[in-house]
Amino acid sequence: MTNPSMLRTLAAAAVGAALAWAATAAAHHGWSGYSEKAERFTGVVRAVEYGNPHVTMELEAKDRTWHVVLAPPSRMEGRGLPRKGLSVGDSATVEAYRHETKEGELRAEWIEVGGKRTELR
Amino acid sequence: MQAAEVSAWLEGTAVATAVREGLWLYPAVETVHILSVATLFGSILLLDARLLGASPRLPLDVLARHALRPVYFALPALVVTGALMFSADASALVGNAAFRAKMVLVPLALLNALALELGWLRLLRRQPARQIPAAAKVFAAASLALWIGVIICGRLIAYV
Repeated sequence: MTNPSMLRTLAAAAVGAALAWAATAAAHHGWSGYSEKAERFTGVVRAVEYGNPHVTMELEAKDRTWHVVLAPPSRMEGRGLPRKGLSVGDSATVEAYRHETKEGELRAEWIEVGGKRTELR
Repeated sequence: MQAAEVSAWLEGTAVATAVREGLWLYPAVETVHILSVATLFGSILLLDARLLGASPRLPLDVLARHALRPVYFALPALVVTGALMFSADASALVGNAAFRAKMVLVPLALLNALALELGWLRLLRRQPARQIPAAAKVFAAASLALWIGVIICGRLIAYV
């Protein structure tokens, strides 16, 4: 026997389950256009473009230079990695996903520099 | 002048640099862009729907004046905010397929709107009780398709 409050509870539970599923799915997969396989890259920062729409850097790691897409400047600052925290010559590690078609491009899940990890998603 | 040279020059201007390097200026400009496209599309949707036959008791002349007024503000806002965002990242955008498609669809949508205005809206405003001609409906349908295409391309810029 369905009544309005039971339907409301059911609807809320369904929405909650959908959101939880979506959140876990996002946590374990890449970004649209990028591989789902997370890899770690450790190396030296060769260039930084700290600007909108996304901060990017060139990272020398695994015998080549990668174009790494990070996050918008507002997000980077808000999460503790301001412009002055990422400089040429710094040693950095990223957990990142390779672009599916653009050779040499990565999108990072997080970046570790100066002993501190910054989440980017 | 090559596209690459113009893009690089544009990106180097003080305005483009401010938009690119500021923390909140780019997202603020982008938000105004989105509010403007919502305003433009919502207004045009109501007018196009009326032209396609919806709500026939709604006087077309009154609706057209009401619906188009917000568009006269939204269009310049779209151009200005779009130009600001473009200048910040011009080199990447000129090569972006979704951006290029959008830059083809926007002029087409505007030309279509002009044709609708000059061809039928003037006439229908003077004779609001008149049946809407089939040709006007074709342009109204094209209007919807073109603006939906513009919005899709705009969103896809970040994904291609």
